[in-house]
This record gives sequence, C-alpha cells and structure tokens, in this order.
Amino acid sequence: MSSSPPPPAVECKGLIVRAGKAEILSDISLRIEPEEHVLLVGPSGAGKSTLLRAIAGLAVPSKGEIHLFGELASRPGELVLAPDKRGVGFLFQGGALWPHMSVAGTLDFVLKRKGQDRSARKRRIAELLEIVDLAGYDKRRTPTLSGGEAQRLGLARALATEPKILALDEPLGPLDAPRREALLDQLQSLARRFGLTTIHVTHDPDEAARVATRTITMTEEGALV
Amino acid sequence: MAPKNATLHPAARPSRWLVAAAFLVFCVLGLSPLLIMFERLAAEPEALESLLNERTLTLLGRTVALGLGASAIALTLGLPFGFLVARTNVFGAPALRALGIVPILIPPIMMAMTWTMILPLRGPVMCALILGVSTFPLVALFTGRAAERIDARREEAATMVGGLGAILRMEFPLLLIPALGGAVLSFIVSINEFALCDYVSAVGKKFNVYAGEIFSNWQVDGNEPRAVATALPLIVLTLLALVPLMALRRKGRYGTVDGRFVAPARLKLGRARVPATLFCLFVVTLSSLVPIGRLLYESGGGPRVFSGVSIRRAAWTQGGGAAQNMPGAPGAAGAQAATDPGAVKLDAKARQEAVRAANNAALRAAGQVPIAGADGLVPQAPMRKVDMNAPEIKAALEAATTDDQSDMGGGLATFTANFKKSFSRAFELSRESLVSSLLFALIAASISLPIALVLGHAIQRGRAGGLLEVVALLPLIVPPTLFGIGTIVFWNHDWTAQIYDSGALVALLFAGRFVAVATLICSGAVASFDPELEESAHLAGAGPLRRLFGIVSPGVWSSLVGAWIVVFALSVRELDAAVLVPAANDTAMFRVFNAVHFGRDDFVSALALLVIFTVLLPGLLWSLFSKARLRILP
Repeated sequence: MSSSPPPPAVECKGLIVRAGKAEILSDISLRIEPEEHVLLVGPSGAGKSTLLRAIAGLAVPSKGEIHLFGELASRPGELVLAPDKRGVGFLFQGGALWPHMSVAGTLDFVLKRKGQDRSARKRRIAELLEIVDLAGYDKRRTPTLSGGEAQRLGLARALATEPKILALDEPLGPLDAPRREALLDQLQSLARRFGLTTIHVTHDPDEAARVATRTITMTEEGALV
Repeated sequence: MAPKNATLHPAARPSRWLVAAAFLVFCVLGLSPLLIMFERLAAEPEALESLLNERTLTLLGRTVALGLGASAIALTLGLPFGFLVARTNVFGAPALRALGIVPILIPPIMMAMTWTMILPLRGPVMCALILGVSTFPLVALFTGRAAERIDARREEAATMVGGLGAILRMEFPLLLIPALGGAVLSFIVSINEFALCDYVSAVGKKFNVYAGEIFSNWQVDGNEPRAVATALPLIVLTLLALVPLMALRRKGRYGTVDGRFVAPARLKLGRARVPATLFCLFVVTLSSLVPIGRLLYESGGGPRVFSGVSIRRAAWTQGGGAAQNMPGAPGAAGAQAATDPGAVKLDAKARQEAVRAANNAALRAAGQVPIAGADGLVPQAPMRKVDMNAPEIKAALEAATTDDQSDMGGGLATFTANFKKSFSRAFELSRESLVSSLLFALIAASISLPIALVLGHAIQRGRAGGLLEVVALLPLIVPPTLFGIGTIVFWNHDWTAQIYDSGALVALLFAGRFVAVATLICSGAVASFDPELEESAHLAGAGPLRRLFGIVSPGVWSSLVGAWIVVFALSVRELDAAVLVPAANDTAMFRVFNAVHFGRDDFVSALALLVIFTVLLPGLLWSLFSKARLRILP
C-alpha cells in the first residue's frame, strides 16, 4: 500500500507582496519540506523579511497563495489563517520583547492563551527557560537582559506557542561570534528535538551555512535566484 | 523618554552663559511672582493658622473630590479615544484625532456656558463633568502618543500569540501609565480651576472650590500672606501628583522607543470598526461639537435658556440663594431667571430684583463697584470706577432687560440674519479686546519659545537637568489665582508703574505662567533628538549657539512650533490669573467672563465663538498650510 508524500511545510505559489506601488516580493514560488532548515539570504532590501512575514501572516499577499502543511493560509488580499493559527513561531530581530514584563511574565502571557491552569503554566515556563538556558531568570525584567539573553527569551516565547515552523528574522544579528555559535547550536538542537521546520533569514550566507539543509537566495528585485 | 546625555562629551554640553541668561528671564517672569508671595508668607507665618479650620478642610476635600471625578471622566473618555484615533482604522481617524484636541483649547467657562444650558445638572457633578470633558484630550494625547511609540515588532509578536486580543492585552499596561499621567494633569487642572466652578455656581446652587478661596482670602483685606497660606495645600497636592509623573517621564515610561524603532501600522478592528467609530464620534460630539454648535445656535438667535432648568433656577434665585463670595457672582442666574420665558411665574418685583442682582453681580465681577455686604458677598473688595460705557456691559444690560430670548421664528433666513448681526456686533464692540488678546498671546508665545528652547535643552543635556526641570515647573504648580496675585504684587512698584499700567504686564503674566509648558515640550523634543548629532557638530567646530540654533532647533522644529502654538492658545484662553490683573480687563476672554454674568445673549455667544476661533487660529493655519505634523509630545 503506497502512502502519499506529506505536504510541504511551506508552499508559496506566484507570491507578490506590494507596499503601496512598490513591489517587495515579485512572483515567488517555493517549497520547503518539513524539518528542513532553510537559509533565506540576499542583500538588504531584497524582501527576505517580507517573505518570512508573509509566511507568518504578518503581511498580506497582493497576488499568489501560501499553503502551510497543505492548508491554504493566505490568498490575494486575505489571510485565510490568522497569524496565531498558523503554527508559526517567530523570532524577531532584537527579540522584540515586551518591555513592561518580566521573563516569566512574557511566557505566561503566551501560555495564558492556551487556557492552561496556573500550576501547569508555571511548570511549562520553567521547562521553556531550561530549554533556552535561562533558568533562574524568571523575575528579571526584559529590558535588563543582554542581547543574547533577549534572543533566547524571544526563542522561548516562539516555542511556547508550540509551533511547527520556526521563523527566524536575523536572529544572530546583535550577537558576538561566540554567542552566535552557541545560539545557532541551540536552534539546531531544538529544531531537531521538536521536529521543526526552520526558515532562517540572514544577509550573511556564511552565518548559518553549517546548520542549513538548503540555501535560497533572493535578488534585490525581490525574486528568487 | 530617558535622557541620553550620559555619554555626551562635556564640551558639547549647553553654554552656561546662555542657560544662565534664559534662566534669569525665567526667574523674572515665572519665579518672581511666586517668590515674592512666599516671602510675604515668611514675614507673617501666623497666616498659616487659618489652614486647619474646618471650612478650609471641607473646601479642600470637596475640591479633591472634584478633581478625582474630573480625572476619572477624562481617563474613561481619553484612554480608549486616544488609542482608537491614533492606532486603529476607525473611520476618519486623523480628523477625529484633530477634533479631539479642541476641548482642551476651548475655555472651560465656555463649556460651562453651553452645558449648563443643555443639562439640568449643577454643582460639583456638573463641574466634574465639564472639567472631565474639557481635559480628556490630555489623556488622549498621552495615550495616543504612547500607542504610536510601541514598536511594530513587539506588536507583531503579540499578534503571533493571539491576534488583536493579545495586542490589546499586551499594550494596555503600556498605555495605562501615560494615560494615568494625562489623568493626573487633568486632576491638577481641575483642582486649580476657578472661573468654571464660579460660573456653574452662578447659574445654580452655590458651590465653592478651593481655588476661589485663595482669591477671597486675598480680597478680604488684601492679605497676601493669607492668600499664599491658603494656596499651600493646593500646591502640595499638585506637587504630590506631579513629582511621580515627572519621575516616570524621566524614566521613559511614557513610550517604549528604542534604537531601531519600527513604527506600527494601524490596527484593523474588523467588526468593531463601526462601534469604535461611533464611540469616537460620541466623544468628539460631547466635547467640542455640542459646545461650539450650541454657541452657534445661540448666536443665530436660538434660546439661551433651557426652560426646565431655568424655572427651578428662578425659584431658587427668588428664594435669595444668589449670595456668592466669588468675583463672578451669581448674577447670571438672576438675569436668566428674569429674562427666561419659562420664568413668567415670577412676579414683577422678583423679576426686577433678579435683574438688579444680575447687574450688580456682573459689575462686581468686573471689580467695578463696591461689593455690598447685604447679599452675602465679601466686603472691602478693591474698588474701581464704574465704566457703564464698557461695550460688554452695555450689550449685556441690553440683553438682560430684553424679554424675548428666542428670535428663531423666521427659520433659517432669520437665523442667518441674526447670526451675521450678532457676529458683526460682537466684532464691532470687542474688536479692540480681540486684538489685545491676540497681541498679548503673540508676545507671550514669542517670549516663551527661546527661553523654553534653551531651558529644555539644558534639562536634557545639562548637568543639573533634573533640578532645572523641577524649577521650571514651579509656575505651573501654583494655582493661577496665586500666580496672578503674585504678578500684581511683584510689578506694582513706582519704578515698574509703566509696565504695571500697560498691556505689557498681561503679556509678561502669560509668558511667566506658560513658559513652563513650552519648556516641557522642548525638553521632550530634545530628549528624542540624537545627541551624537550635536557631538558631531561640536567636533566640526560649532559653538553652543550654532549647535542649539543650527542643529537642534531644525531637528525639533515641529515641536518648537507646537510649543509656540500651545502657549498662544493657553494665553488667549487664560482667565483665572488674568481676571485679577487690571490691564487684562481688556482681553476678549475677560469680556466674555464679564458679559456672561449679566445674562446670555447672542452677543456673548458670538464673542465666545470669536475667542474660540482665535484660540484655534494658529493650529488651523498650520494644518491648512503645512504638511508636517505638530509635535506636542516627543
């Protein structure tokens, strides 16, 4: 008995994203298979982050479609699946942490959406902080974290949504070389442990080449090479 | 916004001479009226004994309750309104946002003039309602600006967690602090307000507030130490409210901007868009369209009295309740009772008495007749010669003795004719006052701006910025009535007689009182200006003056224009301090205050509209001819 192959984790068909009259992404078609670690590279302004945002549901396509695990997620002018229903965890450039919250409060904010009770949330927070090497940081306010710590908390926040796809927008940008390597190793092991598909945006092709399964290059015109 | 001067090269700091010169001018205009009053208190400390009497404490408690009520209303309206118009896709958001600023620019007494005609409420409830509606833009401004300064990526991170609901849950605590900051300002304005409460008292049940007590204590026998002593609790209250507000501001808790800020997009409300728009329309209608519309209606000959209220008020007035001890005494109630078609049940004698009480009270309001003790007013007030030919007195007397208050019988044509007639009459009778107001405000704003720029810059970049900021705030923390008295005392000398007797005193009064506002605006603008730009100018050989006027000023110019416009608007609408200064009797605002105590007619409404138009004029011109946005908050 033959079983049909699993649907791609991400499939973009003729994707065009405009901002006003400017075309940021032009006719992008790509497939990313489950558990791939795809490196999305290209010069500044090529539209790498826009593509990532479109996949996450933070940008609406003007033309084309996006499917996630076979399910239609976006079509022209419409988000069929809301960003929080796509199973995408997003690690923003610089972490984009909420400045008025503590480390534990940040994760609790996410977990509350899942309707878990207080003790379950507390356990899960401890678990997540352990995963990203931030155990004991519960009470720290987010503005007091260093660049690397902030990125790791951002990663824990993304994992708290239990995603199937991890979208990383220049995650290593603000870090020095040793911290970059450490975070990269951590990302790789987490992706393997949770079976995540990873889309990693960077302007530096060498940045994560050792962990990537494939590299997709974008041109300045917002197209794929 | 947190100060960024920690690493500023010492040589790139502001010029000491420039700061000292600006501070000296600030001392003369803004601090001297206060220092001289406190010096008088120090010379007569026994004046403090009057502080603990039961009457004072009751008044203080009542005033605090009024302030809390007003700020609660301001917060309830301002927080959602500010967020919705600044950050969401409600229909006509930019226009609604601009209209949302108007109420704070409309003189509160004009809000009172209209709302007391529309609602039967009186006393503290009415005062709190009007003050809340008048000051909600403070909350909306702070909230809206803070909402605009939430980084798009932080908001998107919340979107990934749970859509619009998560965004709102994440942002509410971030917006609550600035919103509370606005509410605190609303509280401060409310507890120091005097003319509005006086007017509401005049058309209803007697209701004294603490700010009026300062004036009364000074008026009894010109006892300056007692006026300062009376003002102390209000000053302490204002300080208690203001210090945490400023501390939070310095810690940058009113915004969350950091290095690589990405401006957030407007949030799409989906099905909530229509109800949210309706809410914003309701707030704008309540706070600016209704008062302005009502004044327009009255200018066109519409009835000036809500009959259901006026019957009750007439009965109350007839019962001898007209006694007040404020300068703007209750004459309006009597005048309206006498001229209100709904008050026909009064007998002729009562009507005549009501008109007499109205006229006397309004004359007293102008400080132009001795205040008689028989009707309960404070005796021994400063007396001046009665000028029965003053245009607003002539106009108001004419109105007060006219029986027919409604001239709307002829429909739109009559309305238009009445409207034109009342405006040309108001303009004709008060042209000089309008020009005076305009001139005083222009001078005050133009004096304030350079001082504010230098001090604002020094607050952010100088060594003792925190201390300077506190000192710069002092003219604002004293009640306007005390500031007015202080100005009189400070400038009333032989060697300053020429200034004292001229309009220059009014411009100096306005500049001294409002330079603090301009300084705060400039300081906020400098805080968000990259200090490295100044350092690079310094390295290129630019001196302190060139750096300030050639680098910083162009970088914060929309805030400088904003500061100028705010001081102008506040000066045109100023009444509480100006009502005490003889030279300010010629301002349009004072003429409205004066005339309205004689009774309401189309002249008063038209003049009030002209004042509102003058207040709004620079802002309107700016929005018509400039594409840049005015910045009041950094």
